[in-house]
Amino acid sequence: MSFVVARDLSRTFNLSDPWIVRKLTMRPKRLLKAVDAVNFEIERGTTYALVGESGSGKSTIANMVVGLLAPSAGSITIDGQNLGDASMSRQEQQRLRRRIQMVFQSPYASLNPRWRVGDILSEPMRAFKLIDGATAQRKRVAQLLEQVGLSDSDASKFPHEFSGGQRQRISIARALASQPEVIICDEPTSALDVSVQAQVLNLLKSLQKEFGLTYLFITHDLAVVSTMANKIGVLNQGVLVEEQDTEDLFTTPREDYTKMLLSSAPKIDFDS
Amino acid sequence: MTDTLLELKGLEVTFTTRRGTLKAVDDLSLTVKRGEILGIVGESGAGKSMTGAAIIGLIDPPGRVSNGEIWFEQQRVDKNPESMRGRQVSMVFQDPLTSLNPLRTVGDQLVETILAHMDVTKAEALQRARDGLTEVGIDPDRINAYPHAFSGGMRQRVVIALALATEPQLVIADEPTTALDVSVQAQVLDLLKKLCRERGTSVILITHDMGVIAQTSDRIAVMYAGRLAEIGETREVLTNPQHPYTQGLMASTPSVDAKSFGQELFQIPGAMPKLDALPSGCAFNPRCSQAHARCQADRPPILADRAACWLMENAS
Repeated sequence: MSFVVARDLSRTFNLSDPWIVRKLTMRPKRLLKAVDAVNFEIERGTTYALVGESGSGKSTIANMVVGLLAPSAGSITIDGQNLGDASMSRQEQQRLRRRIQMVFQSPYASLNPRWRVGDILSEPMRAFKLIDGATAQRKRVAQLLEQVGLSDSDASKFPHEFSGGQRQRISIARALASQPEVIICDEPTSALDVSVQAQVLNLLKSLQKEFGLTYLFITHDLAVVSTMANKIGVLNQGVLVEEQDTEDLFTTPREDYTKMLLSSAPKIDFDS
Repeated sequence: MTDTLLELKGLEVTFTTRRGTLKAVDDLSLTVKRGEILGIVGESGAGKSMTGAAIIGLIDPPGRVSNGEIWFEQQRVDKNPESMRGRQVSMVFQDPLTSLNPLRTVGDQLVETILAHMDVTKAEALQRARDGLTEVGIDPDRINAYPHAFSGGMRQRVVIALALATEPQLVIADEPTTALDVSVQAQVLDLLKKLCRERGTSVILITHDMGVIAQTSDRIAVMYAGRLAEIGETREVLTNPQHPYTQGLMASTPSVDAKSFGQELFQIPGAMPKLDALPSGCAFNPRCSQAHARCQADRPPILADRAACWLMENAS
């Protein structure tokens, strides 16, 4: 069985007016189906990319997998354990949550500007009670910073002292702090320059090799995942319209929607 | 009437700070021809947005144009940019969410712009506003809608309509599609290109995305640390980049027709230097794989042939 399994995953948002307004205007409830019966599986140590435009439901799926949103229907299973299992104790749930971490889109908004980098990175260790003692935590923070290509003296700095690319490295280090097995990357490079983007993508790849991480990669840019993903799922309006291995998707896309996405990616190609 | 619409001669933009004077744009010279689309590429901090802001006269203190000249239509305009701002030169900003007033209808904003810059009656201005919306592919009956009623791509279309409403000769588009999806980006770029080609409007397209530049522009200027690194015809620069920085940018751009899936992307080592700690000689030399002694000692001449790089001299 695959490491991460999503079965008939759905999420509906209630956009209705308040009850009293509905009764007075005689209008029915308005529901938005953001994600509609999506199925996918991710093997351990591989990268699965979800690609789609704004509003296709890709971030909703990311939030459900990481546990920020509850699915309306369907289930997510990580290593055989159901994420929404009500019979699990709080402790068991937290233990499962530790294994799933997230890297957010904007490194400017996802780091607390009033915390030093060292505090940001040691918070997961304290929250999950992984490492006790200030000295041991500091040592681990230094190790994490080194792993993402920063230096241990950066621990005493504030986020505003770093560039966008460096901040995204800090976000990645924070995700690594709880020794996760799955990392969900929600558009991790869309706020970055191309040259910095290449650095961050390469970092994610080398970390995957080192720690055997499993990635769920969310993006609207097919070009970004061409080097990252093993398998790609294309989402359109909450429905998974196509799923193929990376190379097959680029060479023989089946759906018109995928072809449209491929053709709209900017190309540096003068032969055609 | 000559072919040249805009000319920058040794443009320098400086910021006076507590840590001394920083040069955001350093000795930049380039020309924009009539009807031409010039792309300016570079990483964050390369000075590309500052160049755009300098041309239209929107640099806020403590920054200022400290040296050099800006010529527009054979007139020197760096002392009085108001003379052409809005009327002859207009701007499309990066984020359509913040460049439109959320409290006023799009029609209101279009009419206001037209009335401020052109000698027309209110009825004519309204007609022009409707025509402008039609041109960018928006139903003119939505003229009384507020910006929040439009999607990101539609809003950027409104901003383009605003920029073109006064029939300018030059449009400066600063990262016009960075906030948009890839599929919407293609539509917006095609629209901008089509409208400007039809009217013979020149465009300065500022972006960090090589793909966007490749699809849209006639010529490319590559900037690094406030200086011009390379300039030339789009096809020439992209198929045969001369400056090591341009080569690095090209190699680090992911592509959908990459022959080698799963391969590592090329990355330029290090990061753009801070303006208060520029290396001596060529600003790119610490990150350059082909740097030699001269690169650390002397600044390369402004454009030897095409790229500002000492390697060019050795080659010839």
